[in-house]
Amino acid sequence: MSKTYVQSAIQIASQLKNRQLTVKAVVSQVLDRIRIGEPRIKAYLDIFNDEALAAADQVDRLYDKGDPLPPLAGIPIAIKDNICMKGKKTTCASKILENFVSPYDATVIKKLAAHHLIPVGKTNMDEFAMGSSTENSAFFPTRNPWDESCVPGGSSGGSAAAVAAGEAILSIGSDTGGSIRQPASFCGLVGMKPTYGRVSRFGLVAFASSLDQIGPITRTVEDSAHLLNAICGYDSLDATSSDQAIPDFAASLNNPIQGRKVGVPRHLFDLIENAAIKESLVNALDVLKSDGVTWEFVDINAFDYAVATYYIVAPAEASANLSRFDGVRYGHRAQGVENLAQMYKQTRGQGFGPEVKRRIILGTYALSSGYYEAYYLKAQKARTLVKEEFNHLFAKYDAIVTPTTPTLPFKFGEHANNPLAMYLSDISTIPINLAGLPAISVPCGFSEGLPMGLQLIGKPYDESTLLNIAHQYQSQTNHHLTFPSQLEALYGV
Amino acid sequence: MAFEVVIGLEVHAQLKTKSKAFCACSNRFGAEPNTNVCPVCLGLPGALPVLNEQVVQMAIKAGLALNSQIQHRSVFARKNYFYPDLPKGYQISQFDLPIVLGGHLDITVDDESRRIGITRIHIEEDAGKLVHQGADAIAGSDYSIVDLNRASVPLIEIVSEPDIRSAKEARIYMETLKLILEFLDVCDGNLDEGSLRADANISLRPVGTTAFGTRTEVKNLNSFRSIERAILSEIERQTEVLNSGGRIIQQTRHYDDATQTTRPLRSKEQSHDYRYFPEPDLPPLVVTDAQIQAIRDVLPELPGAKIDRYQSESGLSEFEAVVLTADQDINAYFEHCLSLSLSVSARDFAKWVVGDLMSLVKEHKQDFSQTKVTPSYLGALLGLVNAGKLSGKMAKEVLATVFKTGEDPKSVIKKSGATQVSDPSALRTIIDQVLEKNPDVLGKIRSGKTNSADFVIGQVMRETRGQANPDVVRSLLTEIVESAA
Amino acid sequence: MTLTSSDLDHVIELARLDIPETEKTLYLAQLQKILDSMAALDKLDLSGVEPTFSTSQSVNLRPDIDRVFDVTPSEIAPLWEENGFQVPKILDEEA
Ligand SMILES: [Mg+2]
Ligand SMILES: [Zn+2]
Repeated sequence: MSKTYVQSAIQIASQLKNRQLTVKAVVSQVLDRIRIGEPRIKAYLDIFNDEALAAADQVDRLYDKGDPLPPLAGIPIAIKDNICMKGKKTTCASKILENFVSPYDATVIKKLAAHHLIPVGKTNMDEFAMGSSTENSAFFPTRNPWDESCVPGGSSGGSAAAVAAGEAILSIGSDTGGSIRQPASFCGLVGMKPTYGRVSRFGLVAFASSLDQIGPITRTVEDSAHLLNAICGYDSLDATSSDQAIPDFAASLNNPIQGRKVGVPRHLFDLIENAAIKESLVNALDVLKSDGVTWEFVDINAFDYAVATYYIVAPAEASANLSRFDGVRYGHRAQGVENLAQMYKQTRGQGFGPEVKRRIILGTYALSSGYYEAYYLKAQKARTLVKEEFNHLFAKYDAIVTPTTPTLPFKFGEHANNPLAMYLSDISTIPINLAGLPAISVPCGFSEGLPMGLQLIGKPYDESTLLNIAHQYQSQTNHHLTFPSQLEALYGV
Repeated sequence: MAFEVVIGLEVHAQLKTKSKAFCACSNRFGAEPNTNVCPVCLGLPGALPVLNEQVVQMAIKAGLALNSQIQHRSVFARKNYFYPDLPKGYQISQFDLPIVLGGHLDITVDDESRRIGITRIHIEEDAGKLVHQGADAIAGSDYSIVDLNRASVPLIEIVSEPDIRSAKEARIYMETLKLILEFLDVCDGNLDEGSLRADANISLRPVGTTAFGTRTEVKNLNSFRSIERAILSEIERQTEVLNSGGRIIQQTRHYDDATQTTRPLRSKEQSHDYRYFPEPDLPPLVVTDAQIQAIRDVLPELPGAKIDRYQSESGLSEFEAVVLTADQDINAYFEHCLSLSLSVSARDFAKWVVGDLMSLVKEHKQDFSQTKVTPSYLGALLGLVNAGKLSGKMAKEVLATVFKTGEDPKSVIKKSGATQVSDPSALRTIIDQVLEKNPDVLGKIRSGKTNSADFVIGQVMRETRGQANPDVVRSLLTEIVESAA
Repeated sequence: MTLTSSDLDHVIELARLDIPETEKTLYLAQLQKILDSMAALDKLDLSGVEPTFSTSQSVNLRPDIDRVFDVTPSEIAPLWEENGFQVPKILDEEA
């Protein structure tokens, strides 16, 4: 059989439709890859071997009947482990939820099921999505399929590594400050963070409620458009979900981009030290130029203060969001305690890892009496400036373009004792969450054998333009078609 | 030293919705523990709150009834603290931008009207319930069991200005508020089930001064009696402290009904840092003028307005008007009577509802929603009285039977044969018989002995087993006496 | 602003965390560094700027309809007794 895992979901789906391929064959191949690859990549926390095969049979029967099916029916998909699936463990890669089995489905899971996608497993992540390397998983780190000594990025590192290693065709991640785009960039994939409110958060274990969004991690922009179509939409269970009209994101992929204008933040560009990353951005702009896109440097200060803003807002919200993990109703509970106060402290002390504790402390401090104005309120005001700066630019530009990350994928332990340095690695992606904007990362080249990503930032609810430009870019480049070669040896291909 | 008492009340009223504040679980009291629960009110990972639109409607109703300003934009906040009955580790409440600001409530204390200012009304969710094992209270218990049926039940918290000046005023304020909330149909007013709870902020200041003294907060008072007693005991305690040269410590206190005293809750100082911040899962609540007007348009008539109307339009006494609006059941009963469009006047209904029927209801510890004497039965009974077909005395007896059996008054009357005889020819025959048996009585009557006339009437009543219409008998007798002269 | 070790203790208590003394020192240093970086915000002119607590535009309310959910709390509870979540002895402190 052909190597389905290097193909896009849409390519595979067309073969499923004309029955050149069966869903069972596709799912089996992905499960084989998981079996062989996982001891080294460690992308998954849980694998649904039997259920996936059973589901594959069902979808094959639907295809056999010849009924029209949604575009991604039968495609194996990996789910980040902070998204609740009924009857499955949802651990958020935390000891405190190590044995928690969700009694309900997230809205996104229901939508995937309605589109007949096939979940093959739950993926590793930074604990409660706090981190940029997946090293903060309470269970084990995930390795970057391009270089196993490097991190896959985070926090959706497992979701990105799974697709990059061919252990899934598609995956779902969540993005609070770059957690889809940065691992997508580190793993040579397309990562889309939709507009805040586009995708229901019901069933997504909250990190920072006003910033979190679920989104697709895929090999191609076209897959990203289709997967976004499948998961987005108004949800009565999420009061922040938007009732904005939903375009067919795949329909506009081939629109001409002639005449589009993009801006490139000058100061951010200057800040970046890695020459290869800078060069890849310039090359990408050249490609776009050949399609008739004009670009120019723009002045925007948001990148200078967004990280500080984010590291007040996100931990503050997180400190409250994580209060429910108290050992009373579910999850880990400390044993041998004498009273409730001890139970709380020991449960949470044992259950949370160091980065989670650090952020709970930071967030609690920023909200506590006497510091609310100095930190929390000030940060939320700064957030208004971030939003306004982008709004201002969008009066003139169709998209803002940046490198997704300021550095190449880094080595394990590189930022171990310097959380601040880790935080700064999200400098390009963080402002987008603060402003609630959509953004996409697409592969734009390699340096030292490691992938690099290009980020396109768009107007609220204008994912279509981003997908259109990104797809046109991808049509002219082949970075996304490259597969980590050392893995080929591993799989004996 | 003489002190003036300064009291402000925070009243939590449970809203009478079908579902909870932020999830679709039933808001029904008395279910098996932990059965009215779902991912949202259990605080499961990933679950999100969505506000019940009925909660907003009810909060606005309450605000309009208390003469308040409804805010076009209000904001939900998280109030952060750890407690086993609080599933998320924070309570969703409103903090600096509540849905209702300002207003007042007029109460009547010792025949005088007092205006109590309303500071604000905000929407929030209730916590669950703890059952302490091994002891009656937290103190001494070995462990506790958490029931989350009540978690996320919608509340409005009505905060008064510190305008209340005595324990009695506090009780009357609470009673008046309860009545209004019941009339609005936003709260069932069931104190036993905790539908209405008050926290009282109490301080003293020397008479004639205006600065507030240090206050204490007495929490969770859930009966009218405990409100009055708790405040009285706290006033007594504070007076003693101040008179013996001590000073009041600002603290939260708990009222113990058994000893009728308050005692401080031991609390770590830092547990008061609630770290309020806007709830990111709920965007600000926006209410338009049109929405407010639509609610204003259907606002029911409130007790105060009813009392006025009953007196001016229906000619009821003030006493009757007050009694007939004293609780929602009796008022609903009375309004139902009025809606029957019978020839029975409001005054007649009022007389009987406040009089005989009320006595029966009280005697049998019922309320007006339960009585078997339906408004139409009562109307039928009073119609017969007005038509002269039933004496007042007979009507009382029939009422008592209907109250007991729930039978149609007409069939009760039929069975007992208890209709009034007003037919002059039938009565004349009986009178003649009585006069025949007592030949000297006519003469006595003519010589002015009124008790002789009463004797004849009494005999006629006896002969007819009380069914003779005494008025008709009396006028017939007068006729006889005069004609024979 | 300088984060003192008593600030840290206060916050750790508020957040109900159990953190060994040795780790506190590390946290204190790391957190101070992070707080120092917040100085980036002090350069901004925020006078008259309204805060943005959320970028969500719509307000979704739900109709007042009740329904029953398929959730069995006893299955997820760490300790279940009779019909409720059991919690250890609550010291007599205020909620
Ligand atoms: Mg309250
Ligand atoms: Zn519920």
